[in-house]
Amino acid sequence: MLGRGVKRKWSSLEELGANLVLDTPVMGDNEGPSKPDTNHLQQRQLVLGLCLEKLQRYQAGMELSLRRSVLLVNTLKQIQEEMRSDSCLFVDDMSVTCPGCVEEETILPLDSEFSSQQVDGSSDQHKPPPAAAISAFGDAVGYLSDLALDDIFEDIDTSMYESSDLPSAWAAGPSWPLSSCLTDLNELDHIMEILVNLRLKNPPTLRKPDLQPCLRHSDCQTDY
Amino acid sequence: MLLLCLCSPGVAGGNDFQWCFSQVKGAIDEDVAEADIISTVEFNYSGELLATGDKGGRVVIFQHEQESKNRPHLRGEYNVYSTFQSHEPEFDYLKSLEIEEKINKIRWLPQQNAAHFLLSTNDKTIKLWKISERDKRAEGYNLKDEDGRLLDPFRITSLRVPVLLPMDLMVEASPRRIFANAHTYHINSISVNSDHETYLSADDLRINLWHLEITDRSFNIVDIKPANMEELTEVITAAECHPHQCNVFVYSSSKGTIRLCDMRAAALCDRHSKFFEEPEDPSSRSFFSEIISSISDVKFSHSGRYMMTRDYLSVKVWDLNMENRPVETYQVHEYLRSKLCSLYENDCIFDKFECCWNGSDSAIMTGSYNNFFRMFDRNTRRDITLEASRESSKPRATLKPRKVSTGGKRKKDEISVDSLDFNKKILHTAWHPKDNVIAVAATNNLYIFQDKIN
Repeated sequence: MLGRGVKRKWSSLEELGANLVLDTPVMGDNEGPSKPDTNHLQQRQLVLGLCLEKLQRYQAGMELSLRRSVLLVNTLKQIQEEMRSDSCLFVDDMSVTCPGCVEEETILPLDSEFSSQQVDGSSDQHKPPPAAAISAFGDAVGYLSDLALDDIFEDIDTSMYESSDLPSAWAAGPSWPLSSCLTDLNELDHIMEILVNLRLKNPPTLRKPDLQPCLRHSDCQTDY
Repeated sequence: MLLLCLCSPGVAGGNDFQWCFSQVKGAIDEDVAEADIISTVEFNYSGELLATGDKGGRVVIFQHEQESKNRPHLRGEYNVYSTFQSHEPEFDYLKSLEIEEKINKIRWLPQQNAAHFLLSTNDKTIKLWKISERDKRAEGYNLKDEDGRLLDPFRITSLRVPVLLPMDLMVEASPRRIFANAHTYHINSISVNSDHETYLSADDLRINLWHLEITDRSFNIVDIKPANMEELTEVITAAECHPHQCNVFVYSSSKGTIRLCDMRAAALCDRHSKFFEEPEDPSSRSFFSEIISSISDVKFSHSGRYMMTRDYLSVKVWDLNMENRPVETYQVHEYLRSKLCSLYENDCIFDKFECCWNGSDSAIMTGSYNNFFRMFDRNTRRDITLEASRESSKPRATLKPRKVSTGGKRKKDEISVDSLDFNKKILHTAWHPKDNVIAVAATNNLYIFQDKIN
C-alpha cells in the first residue's frame, strides 16, 4: 500500500482502483459539473483510458464492430464535453487528474494533428480544452489512425512515415505550428485521408431509394 | 395437466408450474471450440423443427419426435434432423478483411409444402435453404448406368421406363437462393414479412427489402448513413417486420430508441411513423448510460399489439399505441449496475442479449450471465431465474430457481454477484410457438427444457 500523501502512479491507481473506485455508483452528476468529486474524476479517467485502449485494440484483418465503436466514441465525446466544461472552471484540478492518462497514453502526434483538423472541426470554436484530452479523443475517433501503415500499404515503403521518426516537437500536440512541419506532412495527410476513405467512407452503395433495381450476378437461380 | 408446485413456482402463461430438464445437445468437453459456439436458435412456425446456427457457419436442425407409447410421461424429444454448412469463411479483397462464417440469424419461412425453407445469414450474405426429405430413388435410367456415368449411345438398344424404389430416408439441404452484395456493414437482423413473399435484412446503417425469389435486386428502405461518417452517432441494432401488417416494420438503435415505419408512406422510410423512447432517469446517469441503453433485440408479440426490447439491464414491453414510455419494464440483472465499469473493462457491456415471447404472449424470456436465464410472467408480474447447467441435467429433473444476493448478507442457496461467471452467458433463447418448451443456448450446448407434466 502507498503511504499518505504519496502520489500514486496511474498504473498503480488502475490496479488499486479498478475494483474500488470503479464499482461505486458512477458520476456525481447530481451535484452538477461545477463540483466534480475525486471519485468521479478518477472514474472518468479510467473510463477514458479504457475507451482509448479499446478503440486502439484493432484486430488486423477483422472488421470493427460499428456498434461498439460508435458507443465508445459517444462515450469519449461525453467525457470530452465534461472535461471541456470542467477545464473552464477548474484548470488546476485538471492538471492534477489529467496527466495520468496523458503520460501513459502514447499518442501518435500525427493522429492528433490529423484529427484536430478533420474530426473535431468544432474544437477550434471552443475554448481550447486540455490538449491531452482532445488529442486522445481525436486519436480514437480517427478509427483507423491506430492502424499500422504497413498493414494497409503492404507494397509501399512506409518507413518514412513512422511516428518514431517524427521530431519530438510533434508530441507537443495540435498547437504545434503546421508551417514548420516536415515536408512529408502533406503526403502524410494525404495517406490519412486515404485511410479514412478506405475504412469509413465505404464504397457508395448501389442501392438507391428511387426503387431503381440494381442488377447483380446471381449464383443460384434454381427453382424455389 | 400442470403441476401446481409450492417449492419453485415457474413462470409461463399465468400458470405456476415447474420447468424440468429435457435434453442437452453438444459436447461435454471443457475445451470449447470457437466454431461450436451457438450463435442463434429458432423454432419453426409449428415448433416441430428447431434450428441452431454456430460460429463455424453450420446449421443444425432438430426434429421433434412423437412421444412413445411406452413412456407417456416423456414428451417427444428433439433429435438431429439435418446438419449442413451454410456459410464458409470468405475474404473481402477490396477491403482486405475476413468475412466470418458465423451465422448471425436464422428465420424459418411458413411451411407451404412438404419441404421446409429457412433463411440464414452471416455478416454479409443471406441464403435461402430448402430442407427436404427423400425416401425413394429412381432406377433404370436409359442414358446412364447405376453409378450415374453416361452410357455410350451406340450401346443403348432398347428403351425402358425408370422405376422409383424405396430407400432409407434422406434429408437434403440445398441452397435455393443467395442474396449477396447488398450490405456494406454487418447484417444484424433478417425478418420474413407476413406477406410470405418478402423479407427485410438490416445492417448497422441500412435496411433492405427483398423478394424471396429475386436475388439480383433489393430495395433500400432505411439508410441512416451520414454523408460524413465522422458525424455518425447511432447505428441500427435490430429490425423486425410486423407479424400481421406487411407494410409495418420496426428498427431499434444504439441510442435506445425504436422507430416504427410504414412502407406505404414512402419508398424510403427514412422518416419514421412512430418513435418510441423512454426519457432517461437523470438520477441513474453515468458514463455508461448510452452503452447500456443500446437495444440488443426487438421482437413483436405474436398478437402484433406489443413489442419487446432488450437493453443491457432490462426488458421493456411497449404498446404500439404508446410511444412515450414502455408499458412494462422488467429488470434482468439490476445487481450488475454497480459493476458496469468492470463489465465495460472486460467488454461484457457490449454483449447482445436477445429476448423472446411465449406462444400466448403472456410470458417473456431472456438470458443473463453465469448460464442464468430469466422468465417474466406478464400477468402475475412474477419472475424467475433458472440455470442451464450439466449438474441438473438428469431426465425430468426439476430446475431449481436461482437467486443472486444483492448486497447485505448472502443467504443459503444464493450466489454472490462477485462469483458470477461472466464467460458463461446466455444470449440466445427460443420459446416453442405453442407449447411450454424452451431452447436455451449456453455457449456450445443447447438445452431444452419443458414444463413438468404430472
